[in-house]
Amino acid sequence: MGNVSDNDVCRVRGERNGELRLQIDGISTFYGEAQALKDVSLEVHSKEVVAILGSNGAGKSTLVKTLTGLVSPSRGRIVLDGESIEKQVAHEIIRKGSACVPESRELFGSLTVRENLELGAYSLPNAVRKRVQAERLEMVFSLFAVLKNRLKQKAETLSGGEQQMLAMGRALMANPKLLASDEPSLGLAPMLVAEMMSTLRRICDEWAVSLLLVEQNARAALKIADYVYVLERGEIVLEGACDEVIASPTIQAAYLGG
Amino acid sequence: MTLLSETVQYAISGVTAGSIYAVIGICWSVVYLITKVLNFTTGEFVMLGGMLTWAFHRLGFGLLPSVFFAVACTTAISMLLERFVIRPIRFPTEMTYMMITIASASVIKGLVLLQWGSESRRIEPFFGTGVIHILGAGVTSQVLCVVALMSLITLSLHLFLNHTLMGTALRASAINLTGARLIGIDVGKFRLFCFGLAGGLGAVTGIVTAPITFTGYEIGMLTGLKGLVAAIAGGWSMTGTVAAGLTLGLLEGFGAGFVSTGLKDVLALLVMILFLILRTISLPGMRKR
Repeated sequence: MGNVSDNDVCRVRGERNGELRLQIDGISTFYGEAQALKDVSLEVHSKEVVAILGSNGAGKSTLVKTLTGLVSPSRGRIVLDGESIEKQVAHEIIRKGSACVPESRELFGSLTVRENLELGAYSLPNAVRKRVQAERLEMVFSLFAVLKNRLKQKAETLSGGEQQMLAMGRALMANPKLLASDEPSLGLAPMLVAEMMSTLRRICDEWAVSLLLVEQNARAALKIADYVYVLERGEIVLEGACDEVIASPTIQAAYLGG
Repeated sequence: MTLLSETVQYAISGVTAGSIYAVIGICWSVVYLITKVLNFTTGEFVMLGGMLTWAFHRLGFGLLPSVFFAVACTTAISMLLERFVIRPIRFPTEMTYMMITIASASVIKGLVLLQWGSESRRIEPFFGTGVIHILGAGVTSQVLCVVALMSLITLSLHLFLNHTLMGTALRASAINLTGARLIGIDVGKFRLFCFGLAGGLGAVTGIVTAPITFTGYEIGMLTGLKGLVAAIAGGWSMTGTVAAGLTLGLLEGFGAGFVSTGLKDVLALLVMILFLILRTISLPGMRKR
Protein backbone atom coordinates (compact mmCIF):
# COMPACT_ATOMS: atom_id res chain seq x y z
CA MET A 1 0.00 0.00 0.00
CA GLY A 2 1.24 3.46 -0.85
CA ASN A 3 1.76 6.38 1.47
CA VAL A 4 -1.29 8.45 2.21
CA SER A 5 -0.58 12.15 2.10
CA ASP A 6 -2.92 15.14 1.84
CA ASN A 7 -1.62 16.28 -1.51
CA ASP A 8 -1.18 13.18 -3.57
CA VAL A 9 -3.93 11.00 -4.84
CA CYS A 10 -3.33 7.69 -3.19
CA ARG A 11 -3.70 4.86 -5.64
CA VAL A 12 -3.97 1.45 -4.16
CA ARG A 13 -5.15 -0.29 -7.28
CA GLY A 14 -6.48 -3.79 -7.06
CA GLU A 15 -7.78 -6.10 -9.77
CA ARG A 16 -10.82 -4.56 -11.41
CA ASN A 17 -13.81 -6.77 -11.96
CA GLY A 18 -15.14 -7.22 -15.51
CA GLU A 19 -14.58 -5.00 -18.52
CA LEU A 20 -14.65 -1.20 -18.53
CA ARG A 21 -18.21 0.15 -18.52
CA LEU A 22 -17.96 3.79 -17.50
CA GLN A 23 -14.96 6.02 -17.77
CA ILE A 24 -15.06 9.54 -16.41
CA ASP A 25 -11.99 11.41 -17.54
CA GLY A 26 -10.96 14.80 -16.14
CA ILE A 27 -14.47 16.17 -15.51
CA SER A 28 -14.89 19.72 -14.18
CA THR A 29 -18.34 21.10 -13.39
CA PHE A 30 -19.22 24.65 -12.40
CA TYR A 31 -22.29 26.24 -10.84
CA GLY A 32 -21.83 29.79 -12.09
CA GLU A 33 -18.46 30.80 -10.68
CA ALA A 34 -18.23 28.01 -8.13
CA GLN A 35 -16.37 24.91 -9.19
CA ALA A 36 -18.05 21.83 -7.79
CA LEU A 37 -15.90 19.18 -9.50
CA LYS A 38 -12.19 19.56 -10.24
CA ASP A 39 -10.66 17.25 -12.80
CA VAL A 40 -12.41 14.13 -11.54
CA SER A 41 -11.51 10.82 -13.17
CA LEU A 42 -12.92 7.43 -12.29
CA GLU A 43 -13.89 4.08 -13.75
CA VAL A 44 -16.68 1.62 -13.20
CA HIS A 45 -16.26 -1.91 -14.52
CA SER A 46 -19.07 -4.21 -15.50
CA LYS A 47 -19.27 -6.48 -12.46
CA GLU A 48 -18.50 -3.86 -9.86
CA VAL A 49 -20.12 -1.90 -7.11
CA VAL A 50 -18.04 1.29 -7.01
CA ALA A 51 -18.48 3.51 -3.97
CA ILE A 52 -17.88 7.24 -3.96
CA LEU A 53 -17.36 8.43 -0.40
CA GLY A 54 -17.23 11.99 0.79
CA SER A 55 -18.71 14.40 3.28
CA ASN A 56 -21.41 16.99 2.66
CA GLY A 57 -20.49 19.41 -0.11
CA ALA A 58 -17.68 17.23 -1.44
CA GLY A 59 -19.31 17.21 -4.87
CA LYS A 60 -20.92 13.77 -4.74
CA SER A 61 -24.36 14.85 -5.93
CA THR A 62 -22.86 17.08 -8.61
CA LEU A 63 -20.97 14.05 -9.88
CA VAL A 64 -24.23 12.09 -10.19
CA LYS A 65 -26.00 15.04 -11.84
CA THR A 66 -23.15 15.45 -14.31
CA LEU A 67 -23.19 11.75 -15.13
CA THR A 68 -26.98 11.81 -15.69
CA GLY A 69 -26.95 14.93 -17.84
CA LEU A 70 -28.89 17.14 -15.42
CA VAL A 71 -25.90 19.50 -15.41
CA SER A 72 -23.24 19.57 -18.09
CA PRO A 73 -19.51 19.52 -17.40
CA SER A 74 -17.37 22.34 -18.74
CA ARG A 75 -14.37 20.05 -19.33
CA GLY A 76 -13.63 16.38 -19.56
CA ARG A 77 -15.12 13.25 -21.07
CA ILE A 78 -17.67 10.71 -19.93
CA VAL A 79 -17.51 7.45 -21.88
CA LEU A 80 -20.19 4.80 -21.44
CA ASP A 81 -19.48 1.50 -23.19
CA GLY A 82 -17.16 3.23 -25.62
CA GLU A 83 -19.48 6.14 -26.44
CA SER A 84 -18.95 9.75 -25.34
CA ILE A 85 -22.01 11.03 -23.49
CA GLU A 86 -20.78 14.21 -21.80
CA LYS A 87 -22.54 16.46 -24.35
CA GLN A 88 -25.87 14.62 -24.09
CA VAL A 89 -28.78 15.60 -21.88
CA ALA A 90 -30.72 13.52 -19.37
CA HIS A 91 -33.40 12.11 -21.67
CA GLU A 92 -30.73 10.92 -24.13
CA ILE A 93 -28.38 9.46 -21.53
CA ILE A 94 -31.03 7.19 -20.03
CA ARG A 95 -31.42 5.66 -23.51
CA LYS A 96 -27.70 4.85 -23.55
CA GLY A 97 -28.20 2.62 -20.51
CA SER A 98 -27.24 4.85 -17.61
CA ALA A 99 -29.97 5.36 -15.00
CA CYS A 100 -29.89 7.31 -11.79
CA VAL A 101 -31.62 7.52 -8.44
CA PRO A 102 -31.00 11.05 -7.19
CA GLU A 103 -30.81 11.91 -3.51
CA SER A 104 -34.16 13.70 -3.75
CA ARG A 105 -35.67 10.61 -5.44
CA GLU A 106 -37.82 12.77 -7.77
CA LEU A 107 -40.83 10.45 -7.69
CA PHE A 108 -44.22 11.38 -9.15
CA GLY A 109 -45.95 11.84 -5.80
CA SER A 110 -49.59 11.93 -6.84
CA LEU A 111 -49.27 9.08 -9.32
CA THR A 112 -49.66 5.49 -8.16
CA VAL A 113 -46.76 3.14 -7.50
CA ARG A 114 -47.73 1.20 -10.62
CA GLU A 115 -47.73 4.34 -12.77
CA ASN A 116 -44.34 5.37 -11.37
CA LEU A 117 -42.88 1.97 -12.22
CA GLU A 118 -44.44 1.82 -15.68
CA LEU A 119 -43.11 5.29 -16.48
CA GLY A 120 -39.66 3.98 -15.59
CA ALA A 121 -39.85 2.04 -18.86
CA TYR A 122 -40.72 5.20 -20.84
CA SER A 123 -37.29 5.39 -22.49
CA LEU A 124 -37.45 1.86 -23.92
CA PRO A 125 -38.13 1.51 -27.67
CA ASN A 126 -41.84 1.04 -28.44
CA ALA A 127 -41.28 -2.35 -30.05
CA VAL A 128 -39.95 -4.02 -26.91
CA ARG A 129 -41.46 -1.90 -24.14
CA LYS A 130 -44.41 -4.17 -23.29
CA ARG A 131 -42.24 -7.27 -23.01
CA VAL A 132 -39.31 -5.71 -21.14
CA GLN A 133 -41.70 -3.85 -18.85
CA ALA A 134 -43.33 -7.11 -17.72
CA GLU A 135 -39.95 -8.79 -17.16
CA ARG A 136 -38.55 -5.83 -15.28
CA LEU A 137 -41.64 -5.52 -13.09
CA GLU A 138 -41.08 -9.11 -11.93
CA MET A 139 -37.43 -8.28 -11.22
CA VAL A 140 -38.38 -5.21 -9.18
CA PHE A 141 -40.88 -7.24 -7.16
CA SER A 142 -38.25 -9.90 -6.48
CA LEU A 143 -35.95 -7.20 -5.12
CA PHE A 144 -38.54 -5.08 -3.32
CA ALA A 145 -41.44 -7.39 -2.46
CA VAL A 146 -43.23 -4.69 -0.49
CA LEU A 147 -43.92 -2.64 -3.63
CA LYS A 148 -46.14 -5.39 -4.99
CA ASN A 149 -48.69 -4.72 -2.24
CA ARG A 150 -48.57 -0.99 -2.78
CA LEU A 151 -49.23 -0.81 -6.52
CA LYS A 152 -52.48 1.15 -6.26
CA GLN A 153 -51.20 3.51 -3.57
CA LYS A 154 -49.99 6.99 -4.43
CA ALA A 155 -46.22 7.30 -4.24
CA GLU A 156 -46.41 10.19 -1.78
CA THR A 157 -48.19 7.98 0.78
CA LEU A 158 -45.26 5.54 1.02
CA SER A 159 -42.78 5.61 3.89
CA GLY A 160 -39.28 6.98 3.29
CA GLY A 161 -37.79 3.53 2.87
CA GLU A 162 -40.52 2.44 0.48
CA GLN A 163 -40.07 5.60 -1.57
CA GLN A 164 -36.36 4.81 -1.85
CA MET A 165 -37.26 1.32 -3.08
CA LEU A 166 -39.74 2.77 -5.57
CA ALA A 167 -37.15 5.23 -6.90
CA MET A 168 -34.68 2.36 -7.28
CA GLY A 169 -37.35 0.21 -8.93
CA ARG A 170 -38.34 2.98 -11.33
CA ALA A 171 -34.71 3.41 -12.41
CA LEU A 172 -34.30 -0.35 -12.94
CA MET A 173 -37.40 -0.45 -15.17
CA ALA A 174 -35.36 1.35 -17.86
CA ASN A 175 -33.18 -1.77 -18.18
CA PRO A 176 -29.95 0.12 -17.41
CA LYS A 177 -26.42 -1.26 -17.65
CA LEU A 178 -25.24 1.27 -15.09
CA LEU A 179 -27.11 2.57 -12.08
CA ALA A 180 -25.94 5.60 -10.12
CA SER A 181 -27.49 5.78 -6.69
CA ASP A 182 -27.12 8.94 -4.64
CA GLU A 183 -27.30 8.41 -0.86
CA PRO A 184 -29.63 5.38 -0.89
CA SER A 185 -29.21 5.06 2.88
CA LEU A 186 -30.37 8.62 3.58
CA GLY A 187 -33.23 8.72 6.06
CA LEU A 188 -33.43 4.95 6.43
CA ALA A 189 -33.48 3.14 9.78
CA PRO A 190 -30.14 1.34 10.45
CA MET A 191 -31.70 -2.08 9.87
CA LEU A 192 -33.10 -0.96 6.53
CA VAL A 193 -29.72 0.46 5.50
CA ALA A 194 -28.11 -2.97 5.72
CA GLU A 195 -31.01 -4.47 3.77
CA MET A 196 -30.80 -1.78 1.10
CA MET A 197 -27.05 -2.36 0.74
CA SER A 198 -27.42 -6.10 0.28
CA THR A 199 -30.18 -5.48 -2.28
CA LEU A 200 -27.83 -3.18 -4.18
CA ARG A 201 -25.21 -5.91 -4.18
CA ARG A 202 -27.81 -8.36 -5.56
CA ILE A 203 -28.74 -5.89 -8.32
CA CYS A 204 -25.11 -5.94 -9.41
CA ASP A 205 -24.49 -9.68 -9.03
CA GLU A 206 -27.80 -11.15 -10.19
CA TRP A 207 -28.93 -8.59 -12.75
CA ALA A 208 -25.59 -7.54 -14.21
CA VAL A 209 -26.09 -3.85 -13.47
CA SER A 210 -22.88 -1.98 -12.66
CA LEU A 211 -23.37 0.22 -9.67
CA LEU A 212 -22.03 3.63 -8.79
CA LEU A 213 -22.90 4.07 -5.15
CA VAL A 214 -22.54 7.56 -3.77
CA GLU A 215 -22.63 7.52 0.02
CA GLN A 216 -21.96 9.57 3.07
CA ASN A 217 -22.46 6.46 5.16
CA ALA A 218 -19.00 5.01 4.49
CA ARG A 219 -19.39 2.07 6.82
CA ALA A 220 -22.47 0.83 4.98
CA ALA A 221 -21.04 1.42 1.52
CA LEU A 222 -17.73 -0.31 2.26
CA LYS A 223 -19.60 -3.49 3.18
CA ILE A 224 -20.63 -4.06 -0.42
CA ALA A 225 -18.20 -2.06 -2.56
CA ASP A 226 -15.49 -3.58 -4.77
CA TYR A 227 -13.68 -0.38 -5.46
CA VAL A 228 -13.72 2.96 -3.69
CA TYR A 229 -13.06 6.60 -4.55
CA VAL A 230 -12.93 9.31 -1.91
CA LEU A 231 -14.09 12.76 -2.98
CA GLU A 232 -13.13 15.89 -1.05
CA ARG A 233 -13.84 19.48 -2.09
CA GLY A 234 -14.59 18.34 -5.62
CA GLU A 235 -11.45 16.25 -6.07
CA ILE A 236 -10.68 12.55 -5.88
CA VAL A 237 -8.18 12.28 -3.02
CA LEU A 238 -7.98 8.53 -2.66
CA GLU A 239 -8.94 5.45 -4.63
CA GLY A 240 -8.39 1.75 -4.31
CA ALA A 241 -9.85 -1.72 -3.93
CA CYS A 242 -12.28 -1.82 -1.04
CA ASP A 243 -10.36 -3.97 1.44
CA GLU A 244 -7.19 -1.95 0.93
CA VAL A 245 -9.01 1.33 1.35
CA ILE A 246 -10.58 0.12 4.58
CA ALA A 247 -7.10 -0.54 5.96
CA SER A 248 -5.85 2.92 5.09
CA PRO A 249 -5.34 5.18 8.12
CA THR A 250 -6.96 8.28 6.52
CA ILE A 251 -10.14 6.39 5.85
CA GLN A 252 -10.07 4.91 9.34
CA ALA A 253 -9.66 8.36 10.84
CA ALA A 254 -11.94 10.42 8.59
CA TYR A 255 -14.77 8.09 7.70
CA LEU A 256 -14.87 5.15 10.07
CA GLY A 257 -14.16 6.96 13.31
CA GLY A 258 -10.63 5.69 13.98
CA MET B 1 -92.79 31.86 -22.62
CA THR B 2 -93.49 29.96 -19.44
CA LEU B 3 -91.09 30.09 -16.50
CA LEU B 4 -90.16 26.47 -17.19
CA SER B 5 -89.27 27.02 -20.82
CA GLU B 6 -87.40 30.19 -19.90
CA THR B 7 -85.40 28.32 -17.28
CA VAL B 8 -84.59 25.56 -19.74
CA GLN B 9 -83.56 28.14 -22.33
CA TYR B 10 -81.15 29.84 -19.93
CA ALA B 11 -79.80 26.51 -18.75
CA ILE B 12 -79.08 25.50 -22.34
CA SER B 13 -77.20 28.68 -23.10
CA GLY B 14 -75.41 28.28 -19.76
CA VAL B 15 -74.26 24.76 -20.57
CA THR B 16 -73.19 25.85 -24.05
CA ALA B 17 -71.07 28.71 -22.75
CA GLY B 18 -69.89 26.58 -19.81
CA SER B 19 -68.62 23.78 -22.04
CA ILE B 20 -66.62 26.36 -23.98
CA TYR B 21 -65.15 27.85 -20.79
CA ALA B 22 -64.25 24.35 -19.63
CA VAL B 23 -62.29 23.56 -22.79
CA ILE B 24 -60.57 26.96 -22.77
CA GLY B 25 -59.77 26.40 -19.09
CA ILE B 26 -58.16 23.09 -20.03
CA CYS B 27 -56.03 24.96 -22.61
CA TRP B 28 -54.74 27.21 -19.81
CA SER B 29 -54.01 24.37 -17.42
CA VAL B 30 -52.37 22.01 -19.92
CA VAL B 31 -49.84 24.73 -20.68
CA TYR B 32 -49.49 26.02 -17.13
CA LEU B 33 -49.02 22.66 -15.45
CA ILE B 34 -46.25 21.50 -17.78
CA THR B 35 -44.45 24.78 -18.55
CA LYS B 36 -45.43 27.11 -15.67
CA VAL B 37 -46.42 29.63 -18.32
CA LEU B 38 -49.65 31.48 -17.54
CA ASN B 39 -50.48 31.85 -21.19
CA PHE B 40 -52.50 34.99 -21.92
CA THR B 41 -52.50 34.25 -25.64
CA THR B 42 -55.01 31.43 -24.94
CA GLY B 43 -57.94 33.74 -25.71
CA GLU B 44 -56.27 34.99 -28.89
CA PHE B 45 -56.10 31.40 -30.18
CA VAL B 46 -59.89 31.27 -29.78
CA MET B 47 -60.17 34.51 -31.74
CA LEU B 48 -57.68 33.33 -34.39
CA GLY B 49 -59.64 30.12 -34.94
CA GLY B 50 -62.80 32.02 -35.81
CA MET B 51 -61.14 34.82 -37.76
CA LEU B 52 -58.88 32.55 -39.82
CA THR B 53 -61.80 30.28 -40.72
CA TRP B 54 -63.77 33.35 -41.82
CA ALA B 55 -60.77 34.63 -43.79
CA PHE B 56 -60.04 31.34 -45.56
CA HIS B 57 -63.75 30.91 -46.30
CA ARG B 58 -63.87 34.39 -47.82
CA LEU B 59 -60.90 33.50 -50.02
CA GLY B 60 -63.12 30.85 -51.57
CA PHE B 61 -62.19 27.73 -49.63
CA GLY B 62 -65.03 25.48 -48.49
CA LEU B 63 -66.06 25.54 -44.84
CA LEU B 64 -64.33 22.26 -43.95
CA PRO B 65 -60.95 23.10 -45.54
CA SER B 66 -61.14 26.57 -43.98
CA VAL B 67 -61.69 25.02 -40.55
CA PHE B 68 -58.79 22.66 -41.13
CA PHE B 69 -56.41 25.43 -42.22
CA ALA B 70 -57.47 27.67 -39.32
CA VAL B 71 -56.82 24.96 -36.72
CA ALA B 72 -53.50 24.02 -38.35
CA CYS B 73 -52.33 27.65 -38.51
CA THR B 74 -53.32 28.42 -34.93
CA THR B 75 -51.60 25.27 -33.68
CA ALA B 76 -48.47 26.23 -35.58
CA ILE B 77 -48.55 29.83 -34.30
CA SER B 78 -48.85 28.57 -30.73
CA MET B 79 -45.91 26.20 -31.15
CA LEU B 80 -43.78 28.90 -32.80
CA LEU B 81 -44.61 31.18 -29.89
CA GLU B 82 -43.30 28.57 -27.44
CA ARG B 83 -40.19 27.72 -29.42
CA PHE B 84 -39.05 31.16 -30.53
CA VAL B 85 -40.52 33.63 -28.05
CA ILE B 86 -40.98 31.88 -24.72
CA ARG B 87 -38.24 29.24 -24.64
CA PRO B 88 -35.34 31.59 -25.44
CA ILE B 89 -36.02 33.69 -22.34
CA ARG B 90 -32.75 33.52 -20.44
CA PHE B 91 -33.93 33.93 -16.87
CA PRO B 92 -37.46 32.60 -16.91
CA THR B 93 -39.77 33.41 -14.04
CA GLU B 94 -43.54 33.06 -13.99
CA MET B 95 -43.73 36.86 -14.12
CA THR B 96 -41.61 37.23 -17.27
CA TYR B 97 -43.57 34.40 -18.89
CA MET B 98 -46.82 36.19 -18.09
CA MET B 99 -45.62 39.55 -19.39
CA ILE B 100 -44.36 38.00 -22.61
CA THR B 101 -47.64 36.22 -23.32
CA ILE B 102 -49.65 39.38 -22.58
CA ALA B 103 -47.43 41.25 -25.04
CA SER B 104 -47.74 38.47 -27.64
CA ALA B 105 -51.53 38.54 -27.24
CA SER B 106 -51.54 42.26 -28.02
CA VAL B 107 -49.39 41.70 -31.09
CA ILE B 108 -51.68 38.96 -32.43
CA LYS B 109 -54.74 41.11 -31.78
CA GLY B 110 -53.13 44.13 -33.44
CA LEU B 111 -52.16 42.18 -36.55
CA VAL B 112 -55.67 40.79 -36.93
CA LEU B 113 -57.12 44.30 -36.56
CA LEU B 114 -54.73 45.61 -39.23
CA GLN B 115 -55.48 42.81 -41.64
CA TRP B 116 -59.23 42.31 -41.27
CA GLY B 117 -60.52 45.41 -39.49
CA SER B 118 -62.69 45.82 -36.43
CA GLU B 119 -66.03 44.52 -37.72
CA SER B 120 -67.69 41.47 -36.20
CA ARG B 121 -67.45 38.47 -38.48
CA ARG B 122 -69.78 35.55 -38.76
CA ILE B 123 -69.40 32.00 -40.00
CA GLU B 124 -72.46 30.15 -41.34
CA PRO B 125 -73.85 27.48 -39.01
CA PHE B 126 -72.32 24.11 -39.92
CA PHE B 127 -75.52 22.09 -40.21
CA GLY B 128 -78.06 24.67 -41.35
CA THR B 129 -80.40 26.72 -39.21
CA GLY B 130 -82.67 23.99 -37.90
CA VAL B 131 -84.12 24.37 -34.41
CA ILE B 132 -85.40 21.64 -32.13
CA HIS B 133 -87.63 22.27 -29.13
CA ILE B 134 -87.04 20.93 -25.63
CA LEU B 135 -89.74 21.76 -23.05
CA GLY B 136 -90.65 24.86 -25.01
CA ALA B 137 -87.08 26.08 -25.37
CA GLY B 138 -85.44 26.31 -28.76
CA VAL B 139 -82.07 24.70 -29.43
CA THR B 140 -80.24 25.41 -32.68
CA SER B 141 -78.22 22.73 -34.42
CA GLN B 142 -75.08 24.81 -33.86
CA VAL B 143 -75.61 24.77 -30.08
CA LEU B 144 -75.97 21.00 -30.17
CA CYS B 145 -72.82 20.82 -32.25
CA VAL B 146 -70.88 22.93 -29.70
CA VAL B 147 -71.98 20.92 -26.69
CA ALA B 148 -71.35 17.59 -28.45
CA LEU B 149 -67.92 18.61 -29.68
CA MET B 150 -66.82 20.05 -26.34
CA SER B 151 -67.96 16.87 -24.57
CA LEU B 152 -66.09 14.76 -27.11
CA ILE B 153 -62.91 16.83 -26.66
CA THR B 154 -63.07 16.61 -22.87
CA LEU B 155 -63.74 12.87 -22.92
CA SER B 156 -60.93 12.15 -25.40
CA LEU B 157 -58.48 14.22 -23.38
CA HIS B 158 -59.49 12.38 -20.22
CA LEU B 159 -58.91 9.01 -21.89
CA PHE B 160 -55.62 10.19 -23.40
CA LEU B 161 -54.25 11.52 -20.10
CA ASN B 162 -55.27 8.54 -18.00
CA HIS B 163 -54.97 5.56 -20.29
CA THR B 164 -51.98 6.11 -22.55
CA LEU B 165 -48.27 6.09 -21.80
CA MET B 166 -47.80 9.57 -23.22
CA GLY B 167 -50.76 10.88 -21.23
CA THR B 168 -49.34 9.45 -18.02
CA ALA B 169 -45.95 10.90 -18.94
CA LEU B 170 -47.58 14.32 -19.39
CA ARG B 171 -49.19 14.08 -15.95
CA ALA B 172 -45.83 13.00 -14.54
CA SER B 173 -44.13 16.04 -16.11
CA ALA B 174 -46.72 18.29 -14.49
CA ILE B 175 -45.82 16.79 -11.11
CA ASN B 176 -42.04 16.64 -11.32
CA LEU B 177 -40.00 17.92 -14.25
CA THR B 178 -36.64 16.59 -12.99
CA GLY B 179 -38.17 13.16 -12.47
CA ALA B 180 -39.59 13.40 -15.99
CA ARG B 181 -36.18 14.14 -17.49
CA LEU B 182 -34.62 11.26 -15.54
CA ILE B 183 -37.04 8.68 -16.97
CA GLY B 184 -36.24 9.90 -20.47
CA ILE B 185 -38.89 12.48 -21.26
CA ASP B 186 -37.81 15.16 -23.72
CA VAL B 187 -39.31 18.08 -21.84
CA GLY B 188 -38.83 20.47 -24.78
CA LYS B 189 -41.03 18.29 -26.99
CA PHE B 190 -43.69 18.12 -24.31
CA ARG B 191 -43.71 21.91 -24.01
CA LEU B 192 -44.22 22.23 -27.75
CA PHE B 193 -46.95 19.61 -27.64
CA CYS B 194 -48.83 21.41 -24.86
CA PHE B 195 -48.70 24.75 -26.65
CA GLY B 196 -49.80 23.07 -29.87
CA LEU B 197 -52.68 21.35 -28.08
CA ALA B 198 -53.79 24.60 -26.44
CA GLY B 199 -53.59 26.43 -29.79
CA GLY B 200 -55.53 23.77 -31.65
CA LEU B 201 -58.26 23.32 -29.03
CA GLY B 202 -58.56 27.09 -28.59
CA ALA B 203 -59.03 27.47 -32.33
CA VAL B 204 -61.70 24.76 -32.40
CA THR B 205 -63.74 26.48 -29.66
CA GLY B 206 -63.42 29.78 -31.51
CA ILE B 207 -64.63 28.20 -34.73
CA VAL B 208 -67.68 26.37 -33.40
CA THR B 209 -68.89 29.40 -31.44
CA ALA B 210 -68.41 31.89 -34.30
CA PRO B 211 -71.80 31.06 -35.88
CA ILE B 212 -73.52 31.72 -32.52
CA THR B 213 -71.75 34.69 -30.97
CA PHE B 214 -69.88 36.13 -33.97
CA THR B 215 -66.16 36.71 -33.80
CA GLY B 216 -63.88 39.72 -34.11
CA TYR B 217 -60.36 40.85 -33.28
CA GLU B 218 -61.29 41.90 -29.73
CA ILE B 219 -63.08 38.78 -28.41
CA GLY B 220 -59.94 36.99 -27.22
CA MET B 221 -59.20 38.69 -23.92
CA LEU B 222 -62.58 38.26 -22.23
CA THR B 223 -63.17 34.75 -23.59
CA GLY B 224 -59.70 33.74 -22.48
CA LEU B 225 -60.15 35.21 -19.03
CA LYS B 226 -63.33 33.21 -18.50
CA GLY B 227 -61.39 30.06 -19.28
CA LEU B 228 -58.76 31.17 -16.76
CA VAL B 229 -61.49 31.63 -14.15
CA ALA B 230 -62.62 28.04 -14.81
CA ALA B 231 -59.05 26.74 -14.49
CA ILE B 232 -58.38 28.66 -11.28
CA ALA B 233 -61.72 27.82 -9.67
CA GLY B 234 -61.25 24.21 -10.72
CA GLY B 235 -57.86 24.03 -9.04
CA TRP B 236 -56.13 23.38 -12.41
CA SER B 237 -57.39 19.80 -12.48
CA MET B 238 -59.32 18.56 -15.48
CA THR B 239 -62.46 17.49 -13.62
CA GLY B 240 -62.34 20.65 -11.51
CA THR B 241 -62.00 22.86 -14.57
CA VAL B 242 -64.94 21.21 -16.33
CA ALA B 243 -67.12 21.52 -13.23
CA ALA B 244 -66.08 25.14 -12.69
CA GLY B 245 -66.55 26.02 -16.38
CA LEU B 246 -70.09 24.61 -16.42
CA THR B 247 -70.96 26.34 -13.13
CA LEU B 248 -69.67 29.63 -14.49
CA GLY B 249 -71.65 29.19 -17.71
CA LEU B 250 -74.87 28.42 -15.82
CA LEU B 251 -74.31 31.38 -13.48
CA GLU B 252 -73.95 33.62 -16.50
CA GLY B 253 -76.93 32.10 -18.26
CA PHE B 254 -79.29 32.53 -15.30
CA GLY B 255 -77.77 35.84 -14.25
CA ALA B 256 -78.20 37.31 -17.71
CA GLY B 257 -81.65 35.78 -18.18
CA PHE B 258 -83.34 36.46 -14.86
CA VAL B 259 -81.46 39.56 -13.67
CA SER B 260 -79.77 41.54 -16.41
CA THR B 261 -77.69 40.88 -19.49
CA GLY B 262 -75.26 43.49 -18.18
CA LEU B 263 -74.41 41.03 -15.43
CA LYS B 264 -73.08 38.41 -17.84
CA ASP B 265 -69.43 39.38 -18.13
CA VAL B 266 -69.20 40.88 -14.66
CA LEU B 267 -70.13 37.56 -13.09
CA ALA B 268 -67.06 35.69 -14.31
CA LEU B 269 -64.71 38.26 -12.91
CA LEU B 270 -66.66 38.42 -9.64
CA VAL B 271 -66.26 34.66 -9.33
CA MET B 272 -62.53 34.99 -9.89
CA ILE B 273 -62.18 37.73 -7.28
CA LEU B 274 -64.22 35.68 -4.83
CA PHE B 275 -62.01 32.66 -5.35
CA LEU B 276 -58.85 34.66 -4.93
CA ILE B 277 -60.14 36.18 -1.72
CA LEU B 278 -61.18 32.83 -0.33
CA ARG B 279 -57.69 31.55 -1.16
CA THR B 280 -58.99 28.09 -1.94
CA ILE B 281 -56.46 28.19 -4.74
CA SER B 282 -53.32 30.09 -5.32
CA LEU B 283 -52.21 31.87 -8.43
CA PRO B 284 -48.67 31.17 -9.54
CA GLY B 285 -46.23 33.14 -7.47
CA MET B 286 -48.57 33.28 -4.49
CA ARG B 287 -47.57 31.25 -1.49
CA LYS B 288 -50.09 29.46 0.65
CA ARG B 289 -49.94 30.77 4.16
